[in-house]
Amino acid sequence: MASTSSNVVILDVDETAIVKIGVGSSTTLASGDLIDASGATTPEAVATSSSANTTFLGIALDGSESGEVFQIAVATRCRINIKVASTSSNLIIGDSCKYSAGANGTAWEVTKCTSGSGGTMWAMQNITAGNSGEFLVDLHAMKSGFYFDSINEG
Amino acid sequence: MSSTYSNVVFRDEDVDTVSVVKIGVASATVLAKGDLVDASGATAPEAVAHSGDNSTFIGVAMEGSQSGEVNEISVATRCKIKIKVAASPTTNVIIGDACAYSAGANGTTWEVTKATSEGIMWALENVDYGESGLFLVDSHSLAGGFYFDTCTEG
Repeated sequence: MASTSSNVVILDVDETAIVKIGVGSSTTLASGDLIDASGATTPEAVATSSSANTTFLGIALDGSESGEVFQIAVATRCRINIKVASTSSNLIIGDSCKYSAGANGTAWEVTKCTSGSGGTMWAMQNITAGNSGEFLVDLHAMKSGFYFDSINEG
Repeated sequence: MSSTYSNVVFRDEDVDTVSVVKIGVASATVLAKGDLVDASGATAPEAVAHSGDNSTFIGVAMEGSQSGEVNEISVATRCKIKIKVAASPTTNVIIGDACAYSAGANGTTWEVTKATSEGIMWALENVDYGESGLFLVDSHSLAGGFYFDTCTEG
């Protein structure tokens, strides 16, 4: 059992798009945490810099306490409820957002980002800044975050 | 309960529930489950009324709404539906063909026709003109209709 909880609520998961990845022994994770797959060997809670959007992998489906070494399941395609930072612009359906604040044990928040620049999830409803709402995480469709190899036809 | 019904048929299990959006309905808007929904302005969905609305098509209504009601409805942006192919033009549709709005509105028969641009759904079977068949609505993959922000890694 993880010693923390996440403010991210997982509403629905595409089970065909779950990845499993090992957790470092010093890493504490809660179900709902945003996961960074830098190096693709040890997921960690996304660092407090927005640059971690480039290695964003998905949403933790399991928790992990410090000292535990095993694989957790991470949803790369799912619908979640997460808070929009009060400093963000208001959102309309289809807006892309990226990490703004938060970590394991503190509230995760996202902010509207410019189309084409590192978004990690789409708004699925209109949301006023400072409130929570529904988002679609979909690494494959967004083609951002931790990338899956591109394959050419034929 | 809505006061009309739609000729567009879909089963609940044929909806990708991860990709459902929620959007407010204007009080004057009447919608039926199965109506093609336009998200122009992204604040109030309306039944698509003309082919120009293909550019703001967002998905298929999963709920109805009567005039005077102000609430959020769920709209499937990725689902499998059965819909009629217009009798004119006399163009048959084969698997993989993209189709666009041809005719219909809330309370009248929805029809699509083979499209060369602004397609909003793919044929999932060969369908003769004037007949109904199975189609895949997928706003993300089709890159038609109401757009979700395009993102890039970084």
